[in-house]
Amino acid sequence: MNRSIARLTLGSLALVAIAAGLWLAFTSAPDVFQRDYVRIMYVHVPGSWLAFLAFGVTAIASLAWLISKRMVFDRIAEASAEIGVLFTAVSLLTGMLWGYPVWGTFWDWGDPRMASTALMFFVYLGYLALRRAVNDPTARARRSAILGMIAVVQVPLVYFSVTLWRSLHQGMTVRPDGIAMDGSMVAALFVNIAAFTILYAYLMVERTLLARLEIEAAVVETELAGRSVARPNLEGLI
Amino acid sequence: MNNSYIWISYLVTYGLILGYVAVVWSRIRSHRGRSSNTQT
Repeated sequence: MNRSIARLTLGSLALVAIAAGLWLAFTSAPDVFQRDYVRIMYVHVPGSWLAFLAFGVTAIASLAWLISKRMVFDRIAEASAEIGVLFTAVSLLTGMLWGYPVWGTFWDWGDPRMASTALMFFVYLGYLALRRAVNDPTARARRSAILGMIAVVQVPLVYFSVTLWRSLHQGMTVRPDGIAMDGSMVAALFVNIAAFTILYAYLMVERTLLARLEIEAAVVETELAGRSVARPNLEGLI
Repeated sequence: MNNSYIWISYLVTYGLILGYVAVVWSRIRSHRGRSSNTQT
């Protein structure tokens, strides 16, 4: 399939899925205890899911680069980490906006879920800073691949933090023994998770395309710079 | 529904996403424009 048709199809699919998710989010039943504030969950939970997915893909692409040394995996790791940071920010901000009216506080450093998510956010910001600090493409790919594989350890730690430690954050709603939610809420949640996942695929296509264009531009600039350097006149010196 | 926290949450979420998409699109366009200038 032509690349631009694939981009258009994915983008349109993401738009339709987001529209359906928004409609369900604002028409589903309110919660008995949280009332309408439960609607914030329909962007907060998909945001967290995408952060986990994106950092998982970064780790897998990092391992693939270390094994194969193919630069396409480095571009995938970079794109996915950047999108993961964006959705971790979404998760943190919407969590704070839900926390104030429901818990009475925007933030509590004593809560393991909040603290570990904030730590994960800053570690991946560091990953992106590392990428910008190294000029040599191979050294950059190697160093960021190693960090990408180490940093992913935080994903299960953040996910299980509500069961491993005492937490203000609510426990898992979707458990192996069932889902503790009304049917309309489950539909709103899963349609929004699906919409964000399609959006992730679209953003990955766009961001990896940009990474490829940046590398091509760097190669062209190097060649042009090389042409402008005059051959030194060494007559009489040798 | 009159609840500013809910509306702000959705504005923040989709504002960040749209902002990111706009930055990526504009960088893609600027690279494509630059590469066509280099070729001519």
